[in-house]
Amino acid sequence: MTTDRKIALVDLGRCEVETFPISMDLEQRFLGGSGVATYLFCKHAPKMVDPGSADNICIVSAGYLSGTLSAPLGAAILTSKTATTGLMARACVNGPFAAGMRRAGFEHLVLKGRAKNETCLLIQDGRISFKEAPGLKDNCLSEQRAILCKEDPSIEAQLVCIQNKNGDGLFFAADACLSKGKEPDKSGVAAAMAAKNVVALACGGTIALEVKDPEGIIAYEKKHLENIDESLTQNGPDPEIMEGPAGSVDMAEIKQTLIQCLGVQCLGLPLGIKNGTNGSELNFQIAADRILLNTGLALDEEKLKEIAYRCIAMERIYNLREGIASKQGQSAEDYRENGWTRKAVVKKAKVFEPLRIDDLWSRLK
Amino acid sequence: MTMKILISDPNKCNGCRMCQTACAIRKAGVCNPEKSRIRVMEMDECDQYLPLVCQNCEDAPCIAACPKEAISRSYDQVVQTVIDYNKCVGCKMCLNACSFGTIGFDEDRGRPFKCDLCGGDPLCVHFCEPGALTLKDPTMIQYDQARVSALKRTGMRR
Repeated sequence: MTTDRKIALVDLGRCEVETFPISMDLEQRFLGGSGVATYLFCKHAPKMVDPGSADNICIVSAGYLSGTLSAPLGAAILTSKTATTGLMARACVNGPFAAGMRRAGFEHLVLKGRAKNETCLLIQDGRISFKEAPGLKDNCLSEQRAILCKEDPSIEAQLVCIQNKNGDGLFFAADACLSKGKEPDKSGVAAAMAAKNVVALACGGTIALEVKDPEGIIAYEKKHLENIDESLTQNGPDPEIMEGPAGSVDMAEIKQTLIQCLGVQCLGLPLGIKNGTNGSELNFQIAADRILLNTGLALDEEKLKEIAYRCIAMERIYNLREGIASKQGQSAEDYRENGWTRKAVVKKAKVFEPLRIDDLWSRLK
Repeated sequence: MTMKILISDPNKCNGCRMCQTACAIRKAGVCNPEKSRIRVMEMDECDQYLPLVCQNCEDAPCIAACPKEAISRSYDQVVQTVIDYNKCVGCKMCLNACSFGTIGFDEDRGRPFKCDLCGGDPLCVHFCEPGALTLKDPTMIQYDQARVSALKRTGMRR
């Protein structure tokens, strides 16, 4: 089972980096990607923080399966509190960055503080260095990449964050699969990162990612590629709603959360282009099989749903603490309809303990 | 004994790296593109990817460059250049000589590695979902290209 996954706590103001191993308990409760990111955000983000301030934090995460045969590229997930909604938000960036970050030695980067000048973070083989990069954001993506690669040819993938003229954040993922080029970030997470004066994240690494059952995963993926059809991606008759200690959650949201935890776009169809299907459906059994073969972590459908529910509950409890109100429009409406009120959800014995997030009680109450 | 070469089509490759990851797992047991026998080159200028493997050149520079005569041409299952690790001293001359940069070096074992076409059934071909990788008889390549060209012309006339 994988045990060498690491989190880096990056203080941009002081240019300091602290690293922590990801415990097995954390892996089992949240897997990785957006799951661990949500936990870290709840743990580290100050109460009622201004999204544009230096106190806000941004988390860059690689998915649990990013870089493996099940998701060779995977997706990087960026989590922060944004000014767009005043709530926790995420942005998904496809491309080789997530896999590159894992091979550079880190699963999650927790960015705190604000850099004095426009800074590029270089992540390489277990080290993170700070590089002032004035004018980098004025260049186009390929030029930025060329500038960074000229200084260090080992940089193989990068994620660049800039702000456009209107102040809206845009992410540029270099070398993104299928849709090479820019990916507009509508969540506002890029703007939160730009407020920290981070203009680029570049990574390069040679760290090998261990595979629990190499021949097993080859045979499994080969079988899926050769026999790919829609029936493989269909779940059984699923209930549309999942009930839990903190109220009801839509099943589509459970699947979406799991996709972001694993850092894959689609687990039923690895690339989602064969036979004209879009491959957006997640199959729980296939996800469990792939986790087992790649990492050795044995999970079943129920446990996967539990993990996704836990992540959604954490996010919603955080949003309730920050004060979701009618000004948030549809989000506030959804919370009310599903019974997600502060009174109903923020309860230690009834919600936090059954969900195994009682270590966050002091932070979220 | 058959002479087959691995052909890659940059127009079909979407840069997914399934081939690279599968190869690294099969050959080294880990997910690491550095250990893969296939390299996916990114061509920023034309926004394309080009998967590259050992071309098993007729007049292979790696064979000429090897001071220990550790690289030779094999005619067993498929025609290819092979490295005799009993003779190899890990001098990296073959890496320098290769025109395509498709010979890698295993730092852990101190020896070079190259594509062996998986004994005639390359794993990367199975993992190439867009069909950018194909194993072909070189004598048939010209006919395949002629067929594509003919189809295009016929289509134009219609």
